[in-house]
Amino acid sequence: MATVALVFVIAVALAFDYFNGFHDAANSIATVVSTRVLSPRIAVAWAAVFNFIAFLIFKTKVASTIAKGVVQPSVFTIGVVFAGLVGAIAWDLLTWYFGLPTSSSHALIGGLAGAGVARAGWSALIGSGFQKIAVFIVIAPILGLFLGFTILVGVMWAFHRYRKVDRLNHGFRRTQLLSAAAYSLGHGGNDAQKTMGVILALLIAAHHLPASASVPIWVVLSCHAAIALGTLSGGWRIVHTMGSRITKLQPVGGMSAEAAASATLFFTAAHGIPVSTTHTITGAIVGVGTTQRLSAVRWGVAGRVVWAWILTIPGAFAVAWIVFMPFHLAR
Amino acid sequence: MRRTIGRRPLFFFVATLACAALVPATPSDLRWVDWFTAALGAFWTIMLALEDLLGPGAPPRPERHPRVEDTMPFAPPPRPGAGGRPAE
Repeated sequence: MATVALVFVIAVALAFDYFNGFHDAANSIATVVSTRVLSPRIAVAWAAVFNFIAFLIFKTKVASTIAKGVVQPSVFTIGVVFAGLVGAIAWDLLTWYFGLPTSSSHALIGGLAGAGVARAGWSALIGSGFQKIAVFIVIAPILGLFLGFTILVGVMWAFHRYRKVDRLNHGFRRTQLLSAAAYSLGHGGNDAQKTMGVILALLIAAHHLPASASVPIWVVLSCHAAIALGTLSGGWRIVHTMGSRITKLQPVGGMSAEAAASATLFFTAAHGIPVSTTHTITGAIVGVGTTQRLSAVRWGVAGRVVWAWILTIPGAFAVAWIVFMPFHLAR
Repeated sequence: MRRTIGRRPLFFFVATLACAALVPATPSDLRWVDWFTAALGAFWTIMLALEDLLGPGAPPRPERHPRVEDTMPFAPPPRPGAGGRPAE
């Protein structure tokens, strides 16, 4: 019975990973689609491939943070993880339906925290882990913003004497393929590891692995495959918000935004910091937009994004808490 | 006309302040990220502010009235009955 429950919750975790890729597909493809470098169909395939192969580049530090750095590992049970996943998935579906670019990462963290608190009270939370995550909720998009601005200004300065604009744009369209690939690597490397962390926590809680275990290879491959399939399935509903409604992008702007976002994601993955890939690319796109002028950014849309950020962790926390409480009261 | 700092450097300044304010809450091994981000933001805040104050958009300085020989290829004809004062 316990094994059946374990397999079921692992399947739910992989489903969350799939929805993560589905929900975040727009982040990976919006800039290359809005600048017409790739068609949407080819763009999602491009992103999915690099989502999958990200496991060849990144270690599993983010997974370790999720499994052991957010909620006390001793609090995790199959029920806690299940409730956390349900909270995160429910929040993701809600924001997907309304076309809001939210953060699957923060939804998962909020969900696990809500379920953990429902079981064991506030002492279930690891303060230092939450501290690190909370700080980088703000730092990651701001870093993306400043880097996006810096890269675009640097590129514009480097090429300001170049007269053959068409050739220049053609060149930037090609480099945008590279920057989009780098961003998808960062996305896969960061987001797939969150599900890896959840499954690792499950396996440890079910005593299938010791507490000091690292992520098994089958978990690595299945999580990357799930997120890649989710990306491939698309997230077309959100693409308009990310790519073209926040600010208008030229190939050089798209390339700069993705380069900035991927640099941020590579850094955070290397340091085991779970961040929102959505926040990061949004910050980078805003940074690129402000090279023109502040009014080049459609702040009404960006404002809706900020509200989604503020509500994600509490929203997923509340749903997970509500889902877990019947289990807790029934004991 | 007096130049003022626009909204763009102020926006960057606020974002820079946010990064600096998070330093105490950041784990010590990662504080350099906050400082790096804040330094980058401070740099652009200053550059954008200087652009607003001194950049090409600033109105030209008022010029002294140009002498006629600066603008006309030939010496102007004397005004009828005048003492040789050039026409404007």
